[in-house]
Amino acid sequence: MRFLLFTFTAILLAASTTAHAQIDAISKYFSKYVDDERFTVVYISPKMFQLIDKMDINLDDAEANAIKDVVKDLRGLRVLVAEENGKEFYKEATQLINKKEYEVLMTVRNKGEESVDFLIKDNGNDVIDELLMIVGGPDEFVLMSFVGKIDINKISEMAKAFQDEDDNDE
Amino acid sequence: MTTRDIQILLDKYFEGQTSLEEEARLKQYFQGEQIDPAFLPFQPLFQFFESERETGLSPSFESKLMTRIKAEKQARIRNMTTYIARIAAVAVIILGIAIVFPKLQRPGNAVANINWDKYEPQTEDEAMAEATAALQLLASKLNGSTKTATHELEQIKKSATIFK
Repeated sequence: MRFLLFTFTAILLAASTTAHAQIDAISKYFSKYVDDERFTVVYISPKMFQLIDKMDINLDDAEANAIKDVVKDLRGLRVLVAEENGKEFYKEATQLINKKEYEVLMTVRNKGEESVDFLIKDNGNDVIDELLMIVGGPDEFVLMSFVGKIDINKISEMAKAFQDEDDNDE
Repeated sequence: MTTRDIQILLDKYFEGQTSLEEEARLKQYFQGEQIDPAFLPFQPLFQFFESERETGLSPSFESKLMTRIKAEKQARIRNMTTYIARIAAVAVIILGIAIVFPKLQRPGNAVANINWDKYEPQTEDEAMAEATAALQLLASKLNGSTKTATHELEQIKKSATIFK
């Protein structure tokens, strides 16, 4: 009996926590933007990521490999882009997000022109549940949410791969 | 039986030395009418043994016992049901918390209303292109550069408009 009760509780707790974890920042805070005409919306479902994972892509450059490595861990991607009111949307977005739930990973400001925020929802280790990027420029606003079991180290490796590429170009 | 005999038997009795036959004789004596006043204090003892021996089980003993046992069994079943009821109550409370609590935490709970599917690319190639563009944009922003951003952003918007 006790065992039954324990199992039941455990299942319920597990169910409630996973249901909670699945909700992404855009669905939670920015649902009003999704059907807004000013926004371009892109969504990739978990199922699509499964299909991508099965795709046979032969890549030989570092950039593409780094991207594939990150994509493998993704379970959802949502992008919102607006080409107006960039700074206002940015301000609103940063205020809407619960800072107890999302931790600021990095904030970049470019000479007062553009602000970029990177927010993460984590479990206290290197693998995070969600990576959220908010870009607020003079005439553009971008909101991107990556959901999955995202390895921060892979993200930084990917960024590094692009940095190297840029250096080679110059 | 003389008073002397009884005295000897009693002494033996209290020393635990009497045989069954001798004890029977003692009991018989104390059941009788002529008891030496000196032995009267011992009379109730032997009479008690005798009366106790006669006490048997009443004819209804077995049925009484069975009803007691049955009553106990029923009581047990009742206990079990209350236990199950308690578990159910706890489960309902947990379920209630699990359902209500996350809802309370979410402001503007319009989550279920978003139809994300209509924004999804039709093929995995398109999806891969989208994801790549998004990650390229992420990478360039992480590197703190603004120069590549426009290019990737255009890529995202271009592929987004294809299946809009």
